[in-house]
Order: sequence, then structure tokens, then C-alpha cells
Amino acid sequence: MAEGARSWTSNVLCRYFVHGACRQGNSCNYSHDWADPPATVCRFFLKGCCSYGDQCRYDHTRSTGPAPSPPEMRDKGKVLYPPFLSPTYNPHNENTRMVKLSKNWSPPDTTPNTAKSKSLPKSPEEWVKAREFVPGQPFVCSTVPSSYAKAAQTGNEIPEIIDKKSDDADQDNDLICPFHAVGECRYGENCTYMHGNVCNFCNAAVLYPDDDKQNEKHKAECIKSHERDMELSFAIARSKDKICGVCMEDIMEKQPPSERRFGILSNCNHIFCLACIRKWRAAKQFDSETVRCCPECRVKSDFITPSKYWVDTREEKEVVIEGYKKALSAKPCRYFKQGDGECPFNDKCFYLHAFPDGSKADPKPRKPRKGTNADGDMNILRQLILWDFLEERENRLQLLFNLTDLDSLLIDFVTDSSDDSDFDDYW
Amino acid sequence: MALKRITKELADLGRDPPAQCSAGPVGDDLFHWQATIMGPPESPYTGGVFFLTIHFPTDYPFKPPKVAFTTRIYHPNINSNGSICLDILRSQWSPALTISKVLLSICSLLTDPNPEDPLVPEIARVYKTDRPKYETTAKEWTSKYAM
Repeated sequence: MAEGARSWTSNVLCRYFVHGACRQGNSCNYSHDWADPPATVCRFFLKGCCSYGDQCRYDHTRSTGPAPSPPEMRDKGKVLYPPFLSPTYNPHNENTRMVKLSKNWSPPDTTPNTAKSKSLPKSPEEWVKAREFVPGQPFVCSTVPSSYAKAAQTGNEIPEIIDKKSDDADQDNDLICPFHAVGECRYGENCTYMHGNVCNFCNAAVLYPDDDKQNEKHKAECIKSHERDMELSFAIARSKDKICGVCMEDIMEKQPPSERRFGILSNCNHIFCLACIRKWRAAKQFDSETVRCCPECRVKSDFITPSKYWVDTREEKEVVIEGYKKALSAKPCRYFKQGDGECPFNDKCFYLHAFPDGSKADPKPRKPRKGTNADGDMNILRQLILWDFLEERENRLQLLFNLTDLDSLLIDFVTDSSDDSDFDDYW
Repeated sequence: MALKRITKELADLGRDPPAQCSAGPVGDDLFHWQATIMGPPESPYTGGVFFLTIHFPTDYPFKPPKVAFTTRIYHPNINSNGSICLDILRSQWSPALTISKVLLSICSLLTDPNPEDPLVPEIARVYKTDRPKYETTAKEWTSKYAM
């Protein structure tokens, strides 16, 4: 094993030796010969965005491709260039990685990005040294990851990029002029970038004259965004002139605009604004059955769903209700209190019932216990747990065991639980 | 909220007044209205004009308005104070109800009294046992107080 390792590493330049810091000296398993190729290539350099430049502890060299051989460059005072700065760099042969233009492209966004991405100055004072972006001239942009994590992530894509390089030669014109795309390019025919064809959907000149696959993709995106826009305008149109049955105002014209929300009842299609229907359902002077009914048709709905727009069809309504339930299920229930409290809604609760460790609570068995008192009235008992009796009522239990009549035992339970002040809140 | 809704109802009443009824504020106070109901043709109250007062609570329409007859009327569900026993004015109130709808309900109450839930048990008893006597008395009261 050691033999094998030695034979493999002996031809690889020691990276500590390169920096003049190898402690192994002559016994080092790696080569201390400048002629040998280095082992570790800087991933960021391969991406063209190593921020350490020639201070980088990793090797700025390309094991494959047309870059000049590393020992040669190191001999020349250790000045190494990222690909786009190298004297032999030809933007048409490299993967320029310029961001593809999409419909949402806007010039003000691109300019600052490209300006700082060039040689990556280390301090804000050096930002002024960033390479200028000249419209109409070829500009080489390398994407600089905003964080280390992002950098590490993009580093994983290297093999893909290297592979792509081979066939990049015939994609050298895949840059569409951003100015022509959104209007007019003042360089006209002389512009170095390609002037694309106009897309029928977004009216931007972003279609590649000879790349159907790309055009199909763009069209699909256009149609999708168009459909989204249509859906929104339909939603706005059908929400117009909807009068709340309680305040009798046009909901979409209420003031302030934050009041322009619909409260959708699950079991009928009458129109109310959220504020009104919520206020009515919270009314205390009527019994809960009355306020849970629709004010117009008196059909009972167990819950209301807030919505920005009115929904006409059952399918749309279900989508809105599902979305609402999903949003609520991510919020912790304030009754359950992560296991400390007890939620009267149990498994019917829309909110999240989870313990601090994130595990979800199992629904408690929900069987109301019933009892009949001496007058023959049916009573629903609160959940009775044997442990509650064993814990502190030993004396009382003894007393109970003395009673032989089971009926009187039951009556005792009934009266006991009826004394609870929050009895009504529970059932 | 209440004032806005009352103003809207007033505008609606002006645009599309209900049959046999009218209503409007007394003076400048929009929370205090007066209403009139013409006795329905197929009832013993026909020909009479009955006056009512309406007081809106400040949290109208979440609470029902207080409606009472000022004109005396012989009816099992309306007592001598003018109080009306009508479920929609109490427990079955709904914020979607309007004064126009309430007045129409009172109109139909005049046509079809509800002796099962009376406010004046004596009139209810007469209504149930001796309908001609009830009708004669109701007509008498109407011509005496409402004409």
C-alpha cells in the first residue's frame, strides 16, 4: 500500500514545497521537483473566480485544457491569471458564463453585478478598479458566489463545465444583446452581441435565430407567465362589484385597502368581507349555532377562509381552502403549546400540534363520556383519567369503595365534573 | 360602520321602496327612524296605517334594531306597549337583514299571526278558538286607532 502510494505521489508536486513550507524535506512522499505537475487545483480558479489570486494556497493551473503549464508560470514570479485575465484568453473559446437573458432581464441589475465580478477586489476601496462594462463590447462575466456555501456548491459543477467547454465553440454566439432585447441597441449592426428575434408573447427580442430548443423553452416560460397573469386578472375581474352582505360595501373598494379581503364560507357561496363575517361569528349575544350560520342562508359553516380574491367555482374554492389549511398547519397551536397545553379541537385543529423536538402529537381519543344524573338528564363528562383519581384522592376513593351501589358512584362522578368552571368551553 | 350601513339602507329604501311600507329618520339622528306599515289587504288590519319607531344600536348590524309599534294594534304577537314578538328581531337576527326586510316580515306577521308563541296569550286564545271574534275586534281597533 505504502509502496503504491509512494509511486503515485512521487510524480505529484508537493503543495507545501510550493509554498516553501514542507517539513518532510527529502523524505516527503510528494515530489519536490518544480517540473512535476501539482496535485491540488484550486476549484475557484477553475471556476474563474478565486478571490485569493496569486496568494491562493491551491494551485492555479488547469490540468486539462489550453492553459500554460504551471511550472513555467511560477518561474515568472508566481503571477497567475484566472482564465479571463490570461493574455491568451479568448472569450469566444471559453465558457463565458454570462447570464442568459430572460424576460425579466433589466439593465440596471446587470451592471453592478458584472462590475464587481471581474477581478473581485478584496476591499470596497478596490471596487473602483473593477472592469468597466461597455455596452456593445464583449464583456466577460464570471459569477461570483455570494457565500462560501454557494461557492462550494458551484464548485461541484466543474466537471460539467469542463465537459461543456468542448462543444462551446459552436455556442459562442449565445449572448443576446440586452439593449436590443428590451428596445433599441445603439450599436445597431455593429453590436458584438446577437440581436435576437422578437418573441410574440413577451415582445422582447430574445429568441435565438438558430436555436429552436432554447426558443421552445422561452415560449413555454412565456406562456406560463401569461397564464399566471390571466388567472390573476380573472380573479380581480370576478372579485369586482362584490358587495358584502353585512356592511353592504363593494369589497374591492373598501378603505383602507387592507380591508379588501373576502371571508369565504365553506358550505355556501354568499359574499362577505373578512372583517364583517369574523365580527359576526365572534358575537357573544347570540348562541354559537346562530353565529356559525351564514347570515344570508343560515347554512352552517365550521370555518371561514380568508382570500384576497373571490372564488366562483367549487374547485377554486377547494384550492383556496387547502392553501389556507396548509399555511395554518405550519403554525404552532396556541392551545397545544408544544405539548404543555391541551387543544379543545384535538385532531380537528388546523394548527400544528408538535412537541419541542419537532415530532407531531398523536390525536387523543375523542369519545365524549356520557352520564345520566338522578333526574334522567344526559350529561357529557370531561375526559376522565384514572390517574387523576389515584394521585390525590386516595381518601375519597376509599369512601367510594364503601358504596356498593354503582349508580350512586356514577352520580358522584357526574356532579364532580359538572362543577368544573370551564366545562362549557370544552364541549 | 353602523352609520355607513344605515345611510346605505336609507338610500336603498329611497331607490326601491318595499310595498306597503315606508321608513326614514326622525330629524337629523340617523339612528332613530320612524316607519309606517299599511294594513295588508287580506287581513283585518286593511285600511289602517300603523306607525313604528326604529332605534338602531351603535353596533348595528351586528345587533338587531329595536322596532316597536306606536299605533295600538290587536294582534297576538304585539302587546299594548307596541313590542313585537318576532324571532328575527331577537335570537334569530342576522346582519344580512335590513330594515326593509324586517318591515316586510312584520307585514307578513300581521297577515299570519303566530299564536303558538304569543306575546298576548288572551288574543292568541281568541285567535285560535273564535276567529270571527278576533277579526271583528282587530277591525274595530284598526278603525279606532289606525285610521
